[in-house]
Amino acid sequence: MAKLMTREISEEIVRDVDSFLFDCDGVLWDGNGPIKGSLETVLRLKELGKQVFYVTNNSSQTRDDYVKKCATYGFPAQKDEILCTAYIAAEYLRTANFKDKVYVIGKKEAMGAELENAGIRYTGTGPDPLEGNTYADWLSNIKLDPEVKCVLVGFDPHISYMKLIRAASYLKKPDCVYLATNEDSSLPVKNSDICIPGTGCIVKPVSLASGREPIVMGKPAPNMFEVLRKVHNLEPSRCMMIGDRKDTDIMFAKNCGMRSMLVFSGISSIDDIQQISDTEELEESQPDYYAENLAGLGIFI
Amino acid sequence: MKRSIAKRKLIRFSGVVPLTSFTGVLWDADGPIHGSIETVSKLKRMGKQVFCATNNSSQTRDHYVKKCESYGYAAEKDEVLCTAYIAAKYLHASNFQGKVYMIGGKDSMGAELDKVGIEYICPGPDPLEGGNYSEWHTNMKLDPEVKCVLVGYDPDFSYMKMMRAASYLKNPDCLYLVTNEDNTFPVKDPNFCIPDVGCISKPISMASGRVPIVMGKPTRNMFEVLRKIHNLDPPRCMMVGDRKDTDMMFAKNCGMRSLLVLSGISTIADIKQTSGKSGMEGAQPDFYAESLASLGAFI
Repeated sequence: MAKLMTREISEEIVRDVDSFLFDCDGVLWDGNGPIKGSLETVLRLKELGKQVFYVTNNSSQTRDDYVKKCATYGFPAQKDEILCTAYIAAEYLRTANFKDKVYVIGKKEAMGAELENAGIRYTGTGPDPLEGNTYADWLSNIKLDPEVKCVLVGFDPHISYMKLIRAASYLKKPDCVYLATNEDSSLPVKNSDICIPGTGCIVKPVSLASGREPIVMGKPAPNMFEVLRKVHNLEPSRCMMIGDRKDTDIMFAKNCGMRSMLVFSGISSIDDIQQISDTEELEESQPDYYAENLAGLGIFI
Repeated sequence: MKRSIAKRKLIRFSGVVPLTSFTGVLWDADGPIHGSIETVSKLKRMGKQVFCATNNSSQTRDHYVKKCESYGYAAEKDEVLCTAYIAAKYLHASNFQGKVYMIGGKDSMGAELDKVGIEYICPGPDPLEGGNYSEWHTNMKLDPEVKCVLVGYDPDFSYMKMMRAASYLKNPDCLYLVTNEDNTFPVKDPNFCIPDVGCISKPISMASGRVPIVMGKPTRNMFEVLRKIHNLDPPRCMMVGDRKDTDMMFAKNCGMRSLLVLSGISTIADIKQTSGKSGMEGAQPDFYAESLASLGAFI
């Protein structure tokens, strides 16, 4: 059962955990700016000699963008300490020795840039408005590129009906691979009347239109941990993942064999913690520990 | 139990009120389906009211009446139901006050809302203005008079529209209506895909965490409107359609008999499929036939 972070537990963690993996949105910062107390906690962990990594499902930035963003807020981050899904998708294709083209639904500056870094050719980024008035017009404007052997979907604020028709057309071929960066349904913005639809809202229509399910690159899939583990020689039992979403961050921790902590400064709240009397069976995605926010660990260490 | 239409059974048909779908039953992309128009016209000459109920939300009732006429079938406006009309009627009947944030066509959903005097805001294409979240937020001014989000067929759908709709739906008092949840329009050629309302509404439901009230088949809403106006008795009605997941489920949900025709999306394999592992999910029909003409041959 999930335990509230206490001084006693924090001492155990400092003793047994060498590497801390942080989700970013809803843990370190959100739509309103940096979250109070998070920076101090991360800096304190570095002082204690701990390794710090940033593991985000966000697919609208490159690793370089994240290095800059962390620097703006003061978070210490080297490029190889950051994992984001635009990067991991490109890395996945590169290590699979993919030599064809990718039809990308995503931002040129993020997904496009990471694919270029990996030497992979792509097409499709940017606005794709309707031309013509009928389905027949739209279909006649589609010229499918025969070199496309993969459809990759990430966050794309230019998502459109034409893009759905194109992606679904490419995905009619069973040997065309279907990848998605992540399936988060929304981004956390506390105390706001705005809802920010997440990448899940871009992937879902492509899946519905094509009738296919994607291979998901981001959390809860272990891909991003595998890269970190190899590069930094991490031992899962001495790692802890801290995030604000059970279905991505906490499941990711479990899939990788790490400890997990859920904070309520993003998507989740105390209602997401299962009380022992609720049901007999423990929910799979319950964290090991929880706290209001990252400072809930920071005050004890 | 699925049985092919036998002459014996048809004698009992004389008391039954037929409802039919359009695409795959009366016509398809190539034009009227052989014998279907003749069958419905014959039913009308026999003194029957024949109702047509379609999930398509890209058109008005008037459009469908004209289309039937162009194929030689004199449908009455009262006998034709489409989801744009049903959504407008639903709001009107519940005495809706306030504005509707509409994702749909001005000439179809907009026209049906105009007819019942309901005010809507419908920006048409809604492209991104600005390069990041804070700019998008600044450009998005939520109208406090909006009390309903209505989602129908809209090929101009965009991220801005998704964001606006999901933001309006953060208010639990804001109604959430969707014309239908079909993911794609039914097309026989497997190389084509025409995304339908499900591709727009399901991401909005996902982002907002809200469940919509669905107007179209397989929910009962379209039948309830007909039932009230025409005093229909469900066991004396029969739905004719080409899809198990919408038409046949609709029939089952409303307590009507059902006839699946194989002139549209479904094939004989869908009839034999009882466990729904492959082929279309949905309800098994009471009867099946090659097409509506097979029924027509017996009456």
